[in-house]
Amino acid sequence: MNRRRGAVLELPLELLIRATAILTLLLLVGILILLARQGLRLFLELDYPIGRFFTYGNAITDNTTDPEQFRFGVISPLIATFWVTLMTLVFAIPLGLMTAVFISEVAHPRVRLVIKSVAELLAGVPTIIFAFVGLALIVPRVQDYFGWGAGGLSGVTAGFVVSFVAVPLIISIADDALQAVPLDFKENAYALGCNKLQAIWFVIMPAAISGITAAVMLGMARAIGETMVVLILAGGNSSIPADPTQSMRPMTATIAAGFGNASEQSLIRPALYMTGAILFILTFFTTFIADAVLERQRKKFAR
Amino acid sequence: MTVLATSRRHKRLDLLQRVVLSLTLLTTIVICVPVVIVSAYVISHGASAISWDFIFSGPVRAGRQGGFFPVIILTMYALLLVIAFAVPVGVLCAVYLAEYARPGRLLRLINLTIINLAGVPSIVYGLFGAALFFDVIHTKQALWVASATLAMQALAIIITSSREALLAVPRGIREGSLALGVSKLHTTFFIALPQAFPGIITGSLLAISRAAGETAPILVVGAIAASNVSLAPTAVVGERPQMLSYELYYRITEGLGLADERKWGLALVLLAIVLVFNMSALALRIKIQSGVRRN
Repeated sequence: MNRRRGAVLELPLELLIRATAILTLLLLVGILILLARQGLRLFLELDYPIGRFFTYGNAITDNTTDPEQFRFGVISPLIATFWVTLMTLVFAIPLGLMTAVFISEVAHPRVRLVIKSVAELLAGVPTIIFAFVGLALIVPRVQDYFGWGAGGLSGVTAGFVVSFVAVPLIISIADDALQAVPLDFKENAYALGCNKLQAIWFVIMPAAISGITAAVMLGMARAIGETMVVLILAGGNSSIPADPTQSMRPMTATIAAGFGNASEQSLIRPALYMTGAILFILTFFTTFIADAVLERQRKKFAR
Repeated sequence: MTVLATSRRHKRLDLLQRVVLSLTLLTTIVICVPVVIVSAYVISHGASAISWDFIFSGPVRAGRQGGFFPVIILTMYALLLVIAFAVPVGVLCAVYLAEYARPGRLLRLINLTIINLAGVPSIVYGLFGAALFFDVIHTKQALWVASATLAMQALAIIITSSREALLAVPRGIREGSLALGVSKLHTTFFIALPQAFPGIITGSLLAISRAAGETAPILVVGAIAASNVSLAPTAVVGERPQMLSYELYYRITEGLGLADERKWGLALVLLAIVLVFNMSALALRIKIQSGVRRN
């Protein structure tokens, strides 16, 4: 009796389970399609020249409805994103990879667990709090010692703080990659007379290189998408930044700064949707390639 | 001669090894510093602002005085809604991936989708939420819209942790149930899922912790600064989103100087909420892992 009642529910519930799985697929595809559709209105319905969108050297987020008055090009946010991401990686790659080597190859396993927990706590701190503490602690120092950007607000400042957002991810994935290297690789290296450093540098790291590359790429995707730190610390200048020490406004910050007061008929709204679609494509491909690289590593050691 | 040369070479190698490995120790210490500095700075500057009124009364004079009770309550509502939206969908999807899907192209595609959903920047989820709810469905700005947007972002974490938890349930338990003639669906929901429950809770706690600290998406879907509104549960449809993370952003950019202890007090409340969720997830996971090792 009981079982038969269950059997009636069986089919619809199974269908529901399958439907939710398809839903995730729809969500990912839906994000791109909807952002692109809302963004393309800018050129198709609102007559904003597509050439100006891709070449104009400023990204003014005015709330205007007149295509003649509207001055928004995606190139300067794109270059600003490039500078901040580059600066993030300059700080995060050595910090993240060296820490991963330390906890995976040098430290006691218990130290490794402690540091992994610390990294997770670091990853848990809201980025708005990083931005606030950075504003109080780091920006005045940058201003005093280097005088960069707008009163210490610059691409380097933002990149430095974003590196602490990206580092936990880099540590966690690079550590996994190093741990996945089979023990006999190390034993063979030591048997040939390598010391620890030589074993790490010539044997373990080359064996884990795909995982390490993936770690760096995922850290990069994190940096490209980070918003609050960049909105508060990069300075907010909307023109093309010539070097990372200038005040700048990356793509994420441009969206966050401009979207709030954009009216529904304004040109800025579709322009920011378009910017979001480009941002999505950038991070999508970075994540996609990182995963493919990671898959290669997994296959290499799957025995 | 050659012996001398090799021993000199060994000495240099030893020195190099010591230097490089010490450097890796140094970076590890550097990684630990920001956690300490951030919490110490926020506590030392914000603790003096915390009082009964700061937590339990409403804002006065546009938040310059009084407290942030409405924002705290609305944040809790928003987080509950995130769980209500994301956990059922996430767990069902994990059930599909762990119990139903056969290895093949579709499974690979969905796994790849989840990895990529985790990599989508939060601001893009915000834009998607705005496009979907305001431009397509034409709802008005409300707290539930912010929750739905945050829930889409939380999905990837919940699916991943629930899937891992389900996959860790020993197959023998399921096979025993199936051998007794219990249906697959019944086995999944009454045998496998309860075993995976702690893992699902861990993922949900992590997702709440992330959602509580997230600012960019709710900025895009129309968050407003603290104001005194009705705190009945109907506020989730009737009121525009007010959340602690956005409130902190608003106070930082309001330009009254950084020394203002009320701003740091707000940062302290936010950090405490986020870290409580985060650390309970961490503690629960360590407990699960030690349990697995004992078995």
